Amino acid sequence: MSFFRRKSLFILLIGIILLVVLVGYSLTKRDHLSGPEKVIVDSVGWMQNIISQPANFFIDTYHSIGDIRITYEENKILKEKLAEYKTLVYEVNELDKENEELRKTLDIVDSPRDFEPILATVISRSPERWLEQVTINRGTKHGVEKNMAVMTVDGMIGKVTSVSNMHATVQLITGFDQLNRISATISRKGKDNIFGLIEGYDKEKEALVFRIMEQSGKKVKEEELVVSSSLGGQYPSGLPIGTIKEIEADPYGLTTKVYLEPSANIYDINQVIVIDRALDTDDDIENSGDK
Amino acid sequence: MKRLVLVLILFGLLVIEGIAIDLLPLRLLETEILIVPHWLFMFLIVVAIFFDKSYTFYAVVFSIVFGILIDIVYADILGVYMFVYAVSVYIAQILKRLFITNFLVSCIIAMITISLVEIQIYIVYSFVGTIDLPFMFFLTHRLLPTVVANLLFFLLVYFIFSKRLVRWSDEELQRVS
Repeated sequence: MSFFRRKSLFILLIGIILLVVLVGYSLTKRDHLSGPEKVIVDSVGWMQNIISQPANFFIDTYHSIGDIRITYEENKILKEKLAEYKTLVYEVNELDKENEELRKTLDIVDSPRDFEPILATVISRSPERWLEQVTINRGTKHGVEKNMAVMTVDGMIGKVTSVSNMHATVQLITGFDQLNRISATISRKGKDNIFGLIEGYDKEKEALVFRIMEQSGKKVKEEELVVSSSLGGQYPSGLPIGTIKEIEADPYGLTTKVYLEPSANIYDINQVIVIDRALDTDDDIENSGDK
Repeated sequence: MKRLVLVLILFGLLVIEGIAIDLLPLRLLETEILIVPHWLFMFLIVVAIFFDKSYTFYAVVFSIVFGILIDIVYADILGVYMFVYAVSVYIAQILKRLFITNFLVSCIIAMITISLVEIQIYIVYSFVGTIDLPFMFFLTHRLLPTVVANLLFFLLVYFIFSKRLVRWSDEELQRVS
């Protein structure tokens, strides 16, 4: 068959070599995108920006038809919640003020909780579903950097993996692997916070895997909220990540494996917030050390 | 000039593939079934079958160029789509020469090549370590739904473009020979 003619075979071999080289190049730990990549991402992103707005409007109306049916029930619940929030807002304001004053007296300026929000819109989602990444319309020019956390109003959804001038790629938490662990904590009164690491996403259970390191007999309950912790050195503390769905003891009894339901719906994201931690992150410290 | 039109259409498909997933109903997205849009590839197959003569390789060239664009824009691992698309489009051209192209044969070629694309992507990503899935799970949860969904898009493209592409091909490529 013509496929096995010498010339085709030769081209196929060159193709395979090229594939291996390119894959190898992209798997090396790159800090920045190369120039041509930035240009392409920006120019395609510019087009996506134009079409994403009308497209999203269309998609939203189309999805909301399904929502209308549950509107009545939802409205009742929301009204109840709103009443609770009113008192809560007052309390939080008071606490905030008090906290700030106490900090001033102690001369602590930046807390690991503080961050600068950068608002962004999701303009496209990678068609390759195994990679789970989205593109947002904010880039280096707006202050977005690699490894910043990204959240919606509901909770954390991922982190920035690559940045071009006007756009950035966000890896969603469902696509995280072993290399992208997030340190997280379950908040408790006093000094009894429970610490652990988010290890990745279990595709079969459809839940995040949260491993609790210490075995101190502290019991976790279902429905408890897990938030990010600043101990990992990358993310500000206090971003909600997920609620506990299922608890599983490790066969060796050293750690506890907990399955989390992500707080944010990662399939329905339009507006996101990129989080620029006020405290220096590990990367900043490394970079300033180089200089 | 018609070649430029093809490039523009392909570029348009590249851009709208980014919102293709949002078009699926939310309830389907939350299940384990993965449907991956390969609209660009489906169009390349139509180009390979109806535009290319037996001695031209426009579809292969397009698939290399737009494959690398997909890699850059949507996937962080470069080269995968470029290689996979180019090989599969080339196979489509060989298959085209073996049979008389009618509607049914075109559909079968589309189905075979889209499966080849998916299987090759599965193999490469398994090697790289991006995914770790048993083959049977991949077969039932990704390959089958993806082939069916993309075949629908293929039918759409087929009915809009097949006649037109044959005409364009006659206008453009006759002079070269």
